[in-house]
Amino acid sequence: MTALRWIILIGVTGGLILFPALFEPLLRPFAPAGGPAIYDRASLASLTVSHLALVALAMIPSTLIALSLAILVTRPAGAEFLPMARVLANIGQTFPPVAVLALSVPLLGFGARPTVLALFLYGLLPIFENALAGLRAVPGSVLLSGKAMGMTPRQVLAQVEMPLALPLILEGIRISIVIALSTATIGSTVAARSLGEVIIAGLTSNNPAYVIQGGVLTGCIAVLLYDAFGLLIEIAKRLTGREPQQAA
Amino acid sequence: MIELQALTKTYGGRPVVDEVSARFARGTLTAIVGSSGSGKTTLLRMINRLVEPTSGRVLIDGQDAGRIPEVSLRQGIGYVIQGYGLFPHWTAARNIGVVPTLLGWPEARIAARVTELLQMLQLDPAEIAGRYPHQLSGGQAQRIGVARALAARPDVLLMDEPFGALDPLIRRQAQRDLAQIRRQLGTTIVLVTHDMNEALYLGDAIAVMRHGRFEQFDTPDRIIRAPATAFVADLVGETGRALRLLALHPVGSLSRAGEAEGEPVDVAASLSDALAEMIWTGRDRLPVTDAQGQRLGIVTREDILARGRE
Ligand SMILES: Nc1ncnc2c1ncn2[C@@H]1O[C@H](COP(=O)(O)OP(=O)(O)OP(=O)(O)O)[C@@H](O)[C@H]1O
Ligand SMILES: [Mg+2]
Repeated sequence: MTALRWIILIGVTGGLILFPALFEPLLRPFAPAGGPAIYDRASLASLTVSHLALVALAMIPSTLIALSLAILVTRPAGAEFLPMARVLANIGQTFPPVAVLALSVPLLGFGARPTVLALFLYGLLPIFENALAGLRAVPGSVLLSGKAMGMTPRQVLAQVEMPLALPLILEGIRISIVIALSTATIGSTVAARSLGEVIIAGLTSNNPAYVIQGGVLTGCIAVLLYDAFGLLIEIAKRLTGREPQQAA
Repeated sequence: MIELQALTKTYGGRPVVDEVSARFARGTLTAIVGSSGSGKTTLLRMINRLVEPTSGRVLIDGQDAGRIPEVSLRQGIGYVIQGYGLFPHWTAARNIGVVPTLLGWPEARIAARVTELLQMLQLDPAEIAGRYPHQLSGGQAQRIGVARALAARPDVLLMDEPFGALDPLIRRQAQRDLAQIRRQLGTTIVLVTHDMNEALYLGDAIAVMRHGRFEQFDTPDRIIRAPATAFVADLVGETGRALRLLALHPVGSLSRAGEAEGEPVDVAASLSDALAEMIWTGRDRLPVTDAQGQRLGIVTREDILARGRE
């Protein structure tokens, strides 16, 4: 069942990227008469690469900052920053990415930069809130144990809190990445290269075949990454002893 | 030796531990007994500075604990936390090895120590070492907690209600095990409990704590014979004092030369156990043997009754 799911997802994604011509017969009925069924102004492969690059460029700093904030506000000395950190992370979420694009283009110009900024801001909150929940879920008796055994605060964080919070931290990153993957498509409205370009081209030239291939490819990549993170989370749980060895 | 000097902790102006002064001699087990909220845990945690005293001092072998860096102080003091607090993401073996690891012991030495401790606590290393805490029974988890506290051979061991969550049968066994291993260790132990019987059974000295103070700090014998306050008397209980006194002393203390018939009694068993055996089997003298089954002598009913009247 899951194997079939992986095969289909990888098949469709890989096929669309590497051998788009194979899908021509499937997409043909949706293309306007005589028009192209497969996007031809750029290769789907190169657009996918730029699309993923946008997401990575946004998610790496987003993860680092949100995680640092969550760690900061769960230290005794940083507790007072919690409301501030929440506000910061929430602002990122409440501003719709489109608004961020519109507001930042005058400052950052057209292209990748405003898109990365929007994805970065949008990604903060899920990572922050999940990391916070994960760190807070570490039982007080376990933290006290670490301290009582003679661990420094740094050792308690690295050896106890982070491993125990890891599954939830990964969960937050997973949510943010999936959101960023789909949101990155609108970057093409400000001329960032992404799979959104295909969708927008389809909309403006009245070619549903473009919309479908852009949408399906973006969707498949999102689901693939979602599943891949699911695996990572399983591994993290198993390594930290919280999954019963035999699944019931 | 642990010495408390006018040790005090206040929270919001209210003293939770109130000018407690006492000495716990090297190699002894001191049981701190008291009702909930009397300040037992707070007192215990001031010894390894999980709680900083508001005033007063703790001296460990003459050294002011307040001047020893927290981390090295704690690495040198075993702590069995109320509710065990095992690291859920580590196996039993890694839990036990945590302090040696922090101290930088070589891996082979840690592994050997873990095996040694598991065996000492009657756990099969092959079966238990690789298990995670959620795969352990309450009794096993409790013993892993004790093993972890003992791993780096600390001179001082603090135990906060180590048997509180165990069912009565397992608790008796765990208490017997502790009584057994502490003889091999020579560690100075401070044990917190709600249970006066546990304190009487395990303690060389007993501190009865109430409202942040020691109402009485004495030998088990004196606590039973001469409770200092109504509260202490209440904790000990009005009834059965003679039997409780007998429970404090081993058969060996009254063993004498002679002959007796029937099932022998172990030299380390308590006088109350011996008396119970006499009542049950209708005998008035029992043969006494050591752990190897070697005949040592006999114990008689008259001697036991005389001891109970003392
Ligand atoms: N960090 C704290 N802040 C404020 N009050 C505290 C704090 N820690 C303990 N107390 C209070 O101090 C008193 C003594 O607490 P302590 O934990 O030492 O009691 P205890 O004798 O160990 O009780 P128990 O048998 O229930 O474990 C309690 O009234 C408790 O509410
Ligand atoms: Mg307590």
